[in-house]
Amino acid sequence: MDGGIDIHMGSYGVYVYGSYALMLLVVIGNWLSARRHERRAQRQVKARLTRAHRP
Amino acid sequence: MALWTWFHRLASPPSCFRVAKTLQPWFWVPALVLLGYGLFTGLFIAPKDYQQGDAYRIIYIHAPSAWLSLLAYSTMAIASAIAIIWRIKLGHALAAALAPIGASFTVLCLVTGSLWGRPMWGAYWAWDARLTSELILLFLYAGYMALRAAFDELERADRTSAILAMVGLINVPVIHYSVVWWNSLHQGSTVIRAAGPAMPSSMLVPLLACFVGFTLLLAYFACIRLRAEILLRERAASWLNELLETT
Repeated sequence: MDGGIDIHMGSYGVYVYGSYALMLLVVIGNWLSARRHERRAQRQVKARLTRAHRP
Repeated sequence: MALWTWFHRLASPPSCFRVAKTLQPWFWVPALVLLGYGLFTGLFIAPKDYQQGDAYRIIYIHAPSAWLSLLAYSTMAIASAIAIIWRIKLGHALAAALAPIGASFTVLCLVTGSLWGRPMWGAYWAWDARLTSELILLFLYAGYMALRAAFDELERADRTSAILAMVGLINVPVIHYSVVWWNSLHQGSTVIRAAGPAMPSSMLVPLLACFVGFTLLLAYFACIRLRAEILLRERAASWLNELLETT
């Protein structure tokens, strides 16, 4: 087969699909980690703001 | 002069905070479109390689992640240098924001390289110049993050880690030229060559889409992390309190 993929890829499948799966993990992990970092920073700033406004 | 003024204005935390927020959708939407096209075409439509068969399809992940590992580190080092020379604190914030992203893509590059190496070379790892220098890059990222975490005082953490980032920049050209300078097991450059890319357009176009898509994705993640870094560093600043009170 010249064009396109042999969907099973023989013995290569595990390496190719493994790479794509790992890429997805890294992208999703990066996104979740960045959002968590952002939310933590927002919480800290808001907590500080609340303390500053406390009578 | 106008450029210098613009640069200084952008380097102020309130401007950068707002610009980063505005730019976010301009990064992630095209990134998803380009990556969707590039990865799907690379995996299902591009023809097989005449030597490597389907195993070459790992290039659509491996090469862009290698590019991101170098791009993130170079940007970190330049941002650190700007922060040290011109005392622009935002440079430290940008470097700190990029480090975990760059490290994760370096891991992706090394692991996908191993997964590609096993069927092609018969081994997951070889102490080859390209592989070893890329591993050193991962250690530099790890060292940078560990150094930052080791100091309680932010200013000292910024200064010390910035020096490491700048010194480590010497490894970037070593990684790039390792396949030229040494007799490497790793294949030479496929895309950026004097004689033109060594790939047909049916393979090259999705690869270029992946390069641009991954770069935009890096920019998107960097924007989110940079905004968080600014929030943490500027939490006592009046502009931030005003901004949060109005939102």
